[in-house]
Amino acid sequence: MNTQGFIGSLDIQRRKPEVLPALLGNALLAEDELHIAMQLQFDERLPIVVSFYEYYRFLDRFVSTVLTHELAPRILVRIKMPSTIPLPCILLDARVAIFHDLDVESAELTARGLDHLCIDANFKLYSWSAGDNSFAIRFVSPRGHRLDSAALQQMQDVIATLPANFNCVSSQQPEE
Amino acid sequence: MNSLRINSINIVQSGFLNGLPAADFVAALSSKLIALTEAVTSTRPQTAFSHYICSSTLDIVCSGAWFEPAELSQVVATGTGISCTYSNAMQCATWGFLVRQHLLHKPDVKHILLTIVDANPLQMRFWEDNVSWGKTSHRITQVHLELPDQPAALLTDVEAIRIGKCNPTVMLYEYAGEIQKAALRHPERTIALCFFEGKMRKGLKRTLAEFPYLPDLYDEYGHVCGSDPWISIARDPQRQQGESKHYLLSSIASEGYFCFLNASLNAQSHIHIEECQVL
Repeated sequence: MNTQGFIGSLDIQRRKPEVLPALLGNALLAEDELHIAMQLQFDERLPIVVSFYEYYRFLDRFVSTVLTHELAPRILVRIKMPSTIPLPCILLDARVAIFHDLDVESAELTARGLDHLCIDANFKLYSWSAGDNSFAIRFVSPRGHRLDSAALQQMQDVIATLPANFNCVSSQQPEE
Repeated sequence: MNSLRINSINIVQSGFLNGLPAADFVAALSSKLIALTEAVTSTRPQTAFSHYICSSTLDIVCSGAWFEPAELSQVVATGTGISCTYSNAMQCATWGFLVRQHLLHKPDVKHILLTIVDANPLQMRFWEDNVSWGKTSHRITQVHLELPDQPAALLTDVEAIRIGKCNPTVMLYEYAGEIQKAALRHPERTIALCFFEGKMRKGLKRTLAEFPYLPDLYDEYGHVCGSDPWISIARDPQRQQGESKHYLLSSIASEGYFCFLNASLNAQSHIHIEECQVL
């Protein structure tokens, strides 16, 4: 099995000033705000580095790049609801599946010999959300296929739009 | 006919989860899910299943890490011996997306368990009543689906399992069009939809008038998220015990995601509803 990809984490220092659409003001849950906040143990010190809008814009670009250039035949994306805006339409593509955690589904695809890309971001996107702002994007090929350098560069170019530090990673395991 | 077989629908209350401390929530929920699952799998020894848990209402409690869905899935998987995953991204329509994912990638596993879990552990007012769709109630609905002998046919039939998205600002208008398209392809199927409060339902009345459809149970239940169409089928007043019947099920979410599924009950299908205090 071959695994290639990128791991990294968001960095508030890498954020550029940017005007964002004011889409975050329609939170339906406003009346429960105090009630909820008192029951959740969120980390108040961890910064919100990207908004929902920016994260979904990133996913839109990244998934579109992967599917348009056929870099991977199927994609698993980690999404944690609730969201204050709709998911990008590209995530409804039949080649994309969304789960709260990707490990089990990735293992199922691996067991069937199916190549796939996991987009596993654990971003803190609003004040109550958990997350450590880390991400891992991994192409998993149970049959040992490798992404070529051009494919990796296409992915890297999109990842570089995030205010993040990241590294390229690769590993190989012998077939069982 | 390209259709999934509904072997069982089991609808139980989830009120026992409300107000539980986080530490007890996963234990209480997983115990219930393991019991429900074992009731199905014990009738089918040596049969491979895939188990998917989905939810609309367990959103902030997941994203806020009040409980970890991965832990829930793992406890249920360990307790049942069946691979189990969790998703809530498509809100009330998540179950349809999971069925599509299964058909695309795991057609070798013929038996699907869909568990739609809705509860209100933090006792939020939003999840009791809100301006968007009115009253909400909560159930755990477990559905046992069986794939036909040739599951690939479901995917090539564009309406057998179909998902999509309406523009949320004109959602009901677009959804009415989607219902009409789906129903015209399968006019013999009885439509089972979400429960809508009166004003919303009125907008769909003209669309539904030409087709067989099940009564809206909003007045009795409120909106029960992804469970709605399954409750409708379980409560179908026109179906005689032991009779086969073909349905077109659909759910739509507040962000406009929708799903349609062709599924059928047969004489052996088992239906159970835990009756409870309704609205």
